[in-house]
Amino acid sequence: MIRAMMTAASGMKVQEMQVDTIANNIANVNTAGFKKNELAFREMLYETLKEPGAKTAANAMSPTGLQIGSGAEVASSVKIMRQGELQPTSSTFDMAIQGQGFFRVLLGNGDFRYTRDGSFRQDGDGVLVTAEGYPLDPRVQIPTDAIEIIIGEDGTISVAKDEATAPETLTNISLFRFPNPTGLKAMGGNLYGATQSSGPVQEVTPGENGTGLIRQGYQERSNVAVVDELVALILAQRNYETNSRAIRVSDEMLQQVNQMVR
Amino acid sequence: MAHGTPFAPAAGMNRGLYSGVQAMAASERRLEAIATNLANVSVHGYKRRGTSTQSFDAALQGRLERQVTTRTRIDFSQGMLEETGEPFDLALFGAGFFALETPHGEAYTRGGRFHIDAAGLLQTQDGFPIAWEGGRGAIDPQGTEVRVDPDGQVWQGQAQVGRLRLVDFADPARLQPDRMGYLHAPADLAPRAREAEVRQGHLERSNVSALDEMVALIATQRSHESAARLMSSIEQGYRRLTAR
Repeated sequence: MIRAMMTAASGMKVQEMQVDTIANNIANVNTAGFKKNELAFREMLYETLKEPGAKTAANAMSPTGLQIGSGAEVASSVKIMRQGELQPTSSTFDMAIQGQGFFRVLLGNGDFRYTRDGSFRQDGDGVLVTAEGYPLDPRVQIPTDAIEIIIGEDGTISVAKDEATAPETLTNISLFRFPNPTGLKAMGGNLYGATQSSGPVQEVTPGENGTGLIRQGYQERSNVAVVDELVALILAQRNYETNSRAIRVSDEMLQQVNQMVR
Repeated sequence: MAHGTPFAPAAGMNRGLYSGVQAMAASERRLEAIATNLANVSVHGYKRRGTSTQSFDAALQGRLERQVTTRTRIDFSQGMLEETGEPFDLALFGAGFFALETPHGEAYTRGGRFHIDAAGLLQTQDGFPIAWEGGRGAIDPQGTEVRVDPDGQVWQGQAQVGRLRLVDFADPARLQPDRMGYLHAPADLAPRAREAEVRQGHLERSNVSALDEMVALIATQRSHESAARLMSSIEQGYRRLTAR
């Protein structure tokens, strides 16, 4: 009975983590470029009380044995890198990636971070920075006298200085790809850091080799579908309840044992 | 609680006590299996454990005794497929398993959330590489989209990468789970043609039905209760005997 209680408690813990994850997904439903988290669960530790094929009597053999698991645990959390919906905005420097790849930004300490949130703006010198002020890398500086800025699908930034002349190519925005993007580490603020498991970063031109295209004037919405999250939330709650029920029954059975002898 | 064995001694109440203990031990085993199933209801590819309790005659010290034993058995029925759209979420439809390479030999699983590492190696969340027919297929992690057809053939663009190793066994109930829930086959277990088809972008949910487990939970609780009642009546019988 005690073992059954521990098993059911592990089941409740797993569902609790599931609710935490869903809550975080729902909280970020309006965060541009947010990728939802999913938990992967696994079975825990089997104890073999009776080996399959063990002799149960002189002429009997147990074909299947008796193996009791000790519950479930969270194996890992997985970032689901599915494309979010593109939403048009009125800002010139809003860029969305349609397909694979990340923007790279430079932190104050010289570290690189990667993001799908393409809502950039200009700082005092005309450099494109994120909402937190981290500059886009490779650095893009827009001349102050530019009147029209065009960002092409392949990342080319062209600038027109007056209406009479044709726009001139200023620079190119690169995208960055990883062999295993689900292995990136979320660092908060919509930024990811490279890890051992994400693999080495590769700089690519947008649109080449299956890399995504850059869409100017769009923002990538989060890929959280609220309805799916709510369904998952209800499921988690019910599973939590059934597991708590198993604890109660274990407790009642233990109580019966204690009441056997008065 | 009459056993009717010809060699049974007349010590009736004492034997009844043992029967009661065996019945309670059996319900405890059942309860543990139910708790395991409920705890694993969200584990992809988990197969529910069923228990069967049987009584049989065992020859002990020259006389026959009625014994009760409980066994667990894995119920390999199909779980519901859930669409995820992730390229490396692979579900099996029909009987069969994915084969994995582990340090302890080949292991089997139906849980299909795979990942690809920096070198393009397809592996489980615990880092065990998936087994292929022939050599390991090399997926280019920077390349184009990977497609897995129902037969387990893996394609990247127009190029064929290889074929996943899918297996099945004549008696899958004899597969043994290890500490992580992966299944291992005893040496004499015969392989058989698998009927499983791979569905890419899907995951197989566990085949645990909360309703069935709740019903079993109530039944187990009640059978435990009757055994406990039986033992208290025997205990009262003893009490009357000793009070006289």
